[in-house]
Amino acid sequence: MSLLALRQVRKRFRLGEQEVEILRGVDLAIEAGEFLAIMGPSGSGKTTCLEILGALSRPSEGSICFEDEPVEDWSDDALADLRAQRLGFVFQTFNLMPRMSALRNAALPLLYAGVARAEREDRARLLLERVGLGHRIHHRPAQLSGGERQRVAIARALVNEPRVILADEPTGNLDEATSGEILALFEALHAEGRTLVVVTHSDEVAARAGRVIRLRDGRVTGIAA
Amino acid sequence: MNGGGARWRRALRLFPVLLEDAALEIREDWRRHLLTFVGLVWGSASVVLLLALGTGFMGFLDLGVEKTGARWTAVEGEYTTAENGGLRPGRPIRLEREDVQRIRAASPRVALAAGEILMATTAESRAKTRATIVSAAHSDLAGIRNHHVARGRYLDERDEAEARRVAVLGAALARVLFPDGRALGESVRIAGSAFRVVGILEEKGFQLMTNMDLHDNMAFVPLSAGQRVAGRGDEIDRVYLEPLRIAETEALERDVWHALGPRHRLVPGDDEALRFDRVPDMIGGIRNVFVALELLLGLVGTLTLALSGVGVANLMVALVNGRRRELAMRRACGARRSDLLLQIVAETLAIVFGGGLAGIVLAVGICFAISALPLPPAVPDPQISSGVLLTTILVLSLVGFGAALGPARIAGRVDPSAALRVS
Repeated sequence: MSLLALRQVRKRFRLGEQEVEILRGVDLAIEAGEFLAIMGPSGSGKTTCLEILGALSRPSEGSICFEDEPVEDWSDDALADLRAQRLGFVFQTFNLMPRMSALRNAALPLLYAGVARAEREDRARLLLERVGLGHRIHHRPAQLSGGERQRVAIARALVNEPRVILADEPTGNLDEATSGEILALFEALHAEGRTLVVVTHSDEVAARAGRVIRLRDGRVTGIAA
Repeated sequence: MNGGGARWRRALRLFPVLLEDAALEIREDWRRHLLTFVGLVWGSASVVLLLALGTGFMGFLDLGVEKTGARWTAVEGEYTTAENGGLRPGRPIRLEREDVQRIRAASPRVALAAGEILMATTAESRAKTRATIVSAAHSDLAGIRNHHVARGRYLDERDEAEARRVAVLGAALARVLFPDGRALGESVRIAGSAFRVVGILEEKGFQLMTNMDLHDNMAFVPLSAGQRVAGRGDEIDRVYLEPLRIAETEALERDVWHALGPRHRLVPGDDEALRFDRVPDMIGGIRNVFVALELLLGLVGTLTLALSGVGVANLMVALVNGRRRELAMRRACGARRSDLLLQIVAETLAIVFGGGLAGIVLAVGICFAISALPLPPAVPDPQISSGVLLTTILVLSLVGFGAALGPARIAGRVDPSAALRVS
């Protein structure tokens, strides 16, 4: 049983009067505990692929299965609940709430998952301590460095104990040293048995992945273990 | 039902947290909210002040009428318009003292009845002489026109039966004629005849529905005594009637016609021969004007607040558009569309009620300041009743929800994939 699977997924967007097909029949299976990197040039469909894997958008054709259950026809609310309870996201630009403390940022998914305030804060605090930010839980994003912000984002992605973490260029906005720290954190998570899917341009990131999928013009052109 | 219940429970669970977030946003970005906030303060204060002014007018009406009786009907003789057995139209109808008894005898609906003549004359004490309106009337007038005695007593049936020369003075008249405050038992000359002062009325202050002068400035004497000094014989100017039940006023008027018709040789249908001034009708007419005034003032205030609501809606649209990435991120973290709608509603309501409540406090302060001013008695103070506050809160809620509608819909349409796209 695959944790996540795309079957003949196509995704089309309308740009003005023109319809553009971004994904052209992608088949992909991700196993539990896997560290998968998705690579490809700009415009190859990497981010769109991640969107669909993360239930952020629906395929135009084809199927997406989570633990063998097709979810492409689920209601909007059901997909939101899936994201709240079983998926975690890390973004290149961190996407933290600027007015909120690190603690509240990290606890955000738990709010929508229906977890009580005290438990939300306890779990977020533990994760922030784990990523080395125990002393900065009341700081706001503007008071944190890029690496610290990305650690808050990772804590947020982990807080709901997700089955899979989806990351889009997680080191894209970080310097080399900080990138190394974040990648080390990712490796540690993988070592714990967590499933990671990372979209990246970076060979260094891809080198740490257990499997690399290459996309070009919306098609899978290569899979390397 | 369960789905709906679960949605409500989710909304109730999220709302306080979203309000906290909203307060944080407003505090952090207060400069951007300031002008909108000021508009809301003024809009809300306008609603409260204008409604309070309308309520003040209404209270003013009730107060003024309460001082002089709110249930009576006055019957006066006018002129006939129909021929009757050789009597030509245009004949004046002169009411007389016995008409009061005739009405009492004919109608079981009468609670109180009093004949009255009014005299424009002078009242003279040892200290002062004053031009005065004197009401000579049956003692039931006290109940009908709400005269309350502050000192001494009011006129009674024995005063009337024996045509005693006794008088009750309005509070202001007593002060003028007897500056030392010792009026009781003293003599006062009314229309050249000596009357003994037996009572002083409570001060009424502002009054509506008075005849010729405020009751505070008038003197009251028995009808029989007044008729003698005025040389009016048995003639009276009017009969005041108070029905047992206000709903029976019209039936009482029919009774009056039956009672007085034969004596004054009135033709049925000659409606202009007797004039009925019904206080409930007159109050109703004035009340309608005041209600219209209150509605108009309320409408003006509401429109002022609604304009502030347009400002809030504009601000929220700008804020939502500026926070698309944040909203998309919330969606990526598991927020439903309805959660984002709720977030924008919470934020809009926080702004509207923050400004609105500040406006209410400002309006209360202004009302207290107005009340403390030495305004003439005929100028009503604005009254902030619970109705005014509830109406204002209702208007604020409508403005809040109205202002949230458009921005919330924009927020609800934010695509979660935008969290990735912008990155």
